[in-house]
Amino acid sequence: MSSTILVVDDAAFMRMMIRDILSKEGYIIQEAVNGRDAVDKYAEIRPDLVTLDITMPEMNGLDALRAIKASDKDARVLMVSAMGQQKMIVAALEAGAMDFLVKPFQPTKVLETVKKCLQSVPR
Amino acid sequence: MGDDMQAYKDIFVSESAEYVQSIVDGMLQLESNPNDLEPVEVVFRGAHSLKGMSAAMGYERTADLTHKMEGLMDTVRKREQAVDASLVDLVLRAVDIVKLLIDDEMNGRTVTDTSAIAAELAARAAGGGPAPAPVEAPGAVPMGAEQHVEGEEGGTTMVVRVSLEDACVLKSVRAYLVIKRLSHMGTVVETHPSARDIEDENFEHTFDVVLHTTELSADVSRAVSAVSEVSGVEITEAAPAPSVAAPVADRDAALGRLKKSIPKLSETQTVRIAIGHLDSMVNLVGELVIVRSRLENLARPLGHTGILETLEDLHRISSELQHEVMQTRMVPVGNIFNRFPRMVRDLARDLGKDVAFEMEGLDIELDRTVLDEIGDPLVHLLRNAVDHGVESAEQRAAAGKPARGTVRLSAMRERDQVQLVVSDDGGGMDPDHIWAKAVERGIVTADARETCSTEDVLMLTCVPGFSTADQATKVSGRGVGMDVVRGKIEYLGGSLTIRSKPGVGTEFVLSLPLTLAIIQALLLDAGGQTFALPLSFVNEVYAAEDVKVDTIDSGPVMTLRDGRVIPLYRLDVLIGSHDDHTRPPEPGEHVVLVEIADQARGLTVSRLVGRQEVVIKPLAKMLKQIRGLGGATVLGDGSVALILDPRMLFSMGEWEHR
Repeated sequence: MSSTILVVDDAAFMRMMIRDILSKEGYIIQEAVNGRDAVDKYAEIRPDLVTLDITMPEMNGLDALRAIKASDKDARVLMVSAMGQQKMIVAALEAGAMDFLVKPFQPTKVLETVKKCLQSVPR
Repeated sequence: MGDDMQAYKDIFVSESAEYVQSIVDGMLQLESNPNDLEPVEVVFRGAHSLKGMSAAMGYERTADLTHKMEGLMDTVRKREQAVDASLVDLVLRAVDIVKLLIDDEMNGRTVTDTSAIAAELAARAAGGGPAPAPVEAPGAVPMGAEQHVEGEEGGTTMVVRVSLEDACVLKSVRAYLVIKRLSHMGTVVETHPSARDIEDENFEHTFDVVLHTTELSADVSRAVSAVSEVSGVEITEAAPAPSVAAPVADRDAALGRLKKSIPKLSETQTVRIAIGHLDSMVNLVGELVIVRSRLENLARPLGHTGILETLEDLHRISSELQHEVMQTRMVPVGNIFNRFPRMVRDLARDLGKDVAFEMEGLDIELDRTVLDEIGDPLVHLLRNAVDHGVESAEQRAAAGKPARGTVRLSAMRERDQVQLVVSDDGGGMDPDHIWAKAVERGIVTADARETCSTEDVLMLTCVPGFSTADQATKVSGRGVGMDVVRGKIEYLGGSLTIRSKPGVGTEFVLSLPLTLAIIQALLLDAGGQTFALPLSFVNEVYAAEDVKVDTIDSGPVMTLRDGRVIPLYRLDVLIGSHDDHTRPPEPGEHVVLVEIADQARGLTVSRLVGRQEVVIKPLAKMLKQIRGLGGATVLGDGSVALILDPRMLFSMGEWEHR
């Protein structure tokens, strides 16, 4: 069974890009447009992995990560960030994110990271 | 991905425009309230998103500039930077350049020079005001990875050599993640280079972690490999470690600062559709409505219950479909209004005027064809309001008005029309001055003054070749303009009225149809021909027998129930198939009460055919020259009816009356 991935980004452009990369590999993609939406959708869909943008309106990626981890400590979350957000990423890793991707990214890098996350045990 | 490049470009263009707009809005908001952190976040996020998108598209110049904007806003966010007019200006100028850059990218050029603005942004970000002691030195990522120190007996100590990919960005964070994973498997004794150096990215692509653990080296190796961008793991068993010491970094302070709630942007589930698809949907639905009524005409005489019932369903469904399709074309006026605050601000600055700009009814929706066309006329009216409407500071002071002038743009829904009102609290328009100018320009003769209402006089400003500006400025007043504005509004099936009080202000009211494509119409006969009259203009219909006709100035008039006396026109006369306009309504005929801009007129027609939705088809060029016609439509029986435009129809009639 193919894994379900919740792609969270406020930019439709980014969602489209990640969706394209991942759906070509057979992953089932769901989307959320901000942190709050991500938390709601997570509870509803229970995806196998969440790709979470950091800078978002309504609720940022870090708060969303915390909320998701609080609801499901085994949640697999992959942070998506831009250059210059080291502190945010470190905080996210502290809060239980599994890995991170830095924009702009290569499709192969996205696939590799997603695959690694899905194979690892969340903690 | 190459095949989809155009799709990416399309969405890039539309989405980047939204972010550009959010930056402009945010900066203007910030300017009026420099202590508000919310717009700072909006602008920061806007720049941030633009950066990410541009970088993903490979638009490095755009990514670089937006990165600098983001950096500057970051200093504002951290309160290291004072918000003043020069900052607002700088960011607004930068965002203008971003627009040019995006334009460049779309056209495959690199003509825009960014060096000056980039340097300015960087300088401002670096030297912005007295910076309060930074909470944390930038880049200082706390790196102590020690989580739990288990004074565990047994186990082994190993050196884990980790290599990162050459292309790895944020090496220090990547290393942090690796060390964190390792710390879950045992005790991280030390690292080479030191934690400090790893933090500062003082290493090439390889670092060593000394780990004391009970896990098997194969498991450790697998755990490290599971981190992305790790290209290699090498493990060598070492002698038992003599000491265990590593600081546990406290990151709570850093986290606390990040918990700030972030304001919201609107979030509706939307899909982007090329406007061409919508247009053809509207056309097809129009055709469907026509075929439907033809079918109804054919089926009715048959009297077959099954067919009639099915037709009723078809009627209902196609009406709903039509409604939905028309709905998809509706766009909030805010979409074009949002560029005006910036424009008014810049203009007021250029003219050295203090002007507050207010907008209202941004969520009122209009058909996008109408909306696309109305932007330019609105720009013109707003410029007029700032330039000619609002007086200079001295004049305002002398008149005892507040120093700051107000220009307002509001949208209101009224029946199936939308009213856009541009108003100012300026000096108003002087009818005598306008009249004198009009006489001077030979537009009117001096002795006709008595026959003109104040409103008529004000409308003279919309006659080609008229301009009251004593001095042409760079913004407005060169004799072109108001006539073009009125022309455009009338072309869209709307109307323009001007209200003005000397010393108090001026108001331009644009009444626009909600949509251009399908209207409710009253079908009527005159001179043996069928016409469609838009229902929005129809107030009431009387049988000729119920109408009391008098004669005033040799023209027929009728008295309404509320006592108003209104002129009577004959449609057959107006369309030229008859020439006796004094002929009163005859038995069997009907009088339609037509209301345009608070003015009522009676229109006598030979027969009422019925009420129907009609699809407006544009007229052929030849017919366009006939005033009083707004288009044509195909009726249920396949015949063609001309659609009347009452505004033009009566102005034509009045022309002949005089």
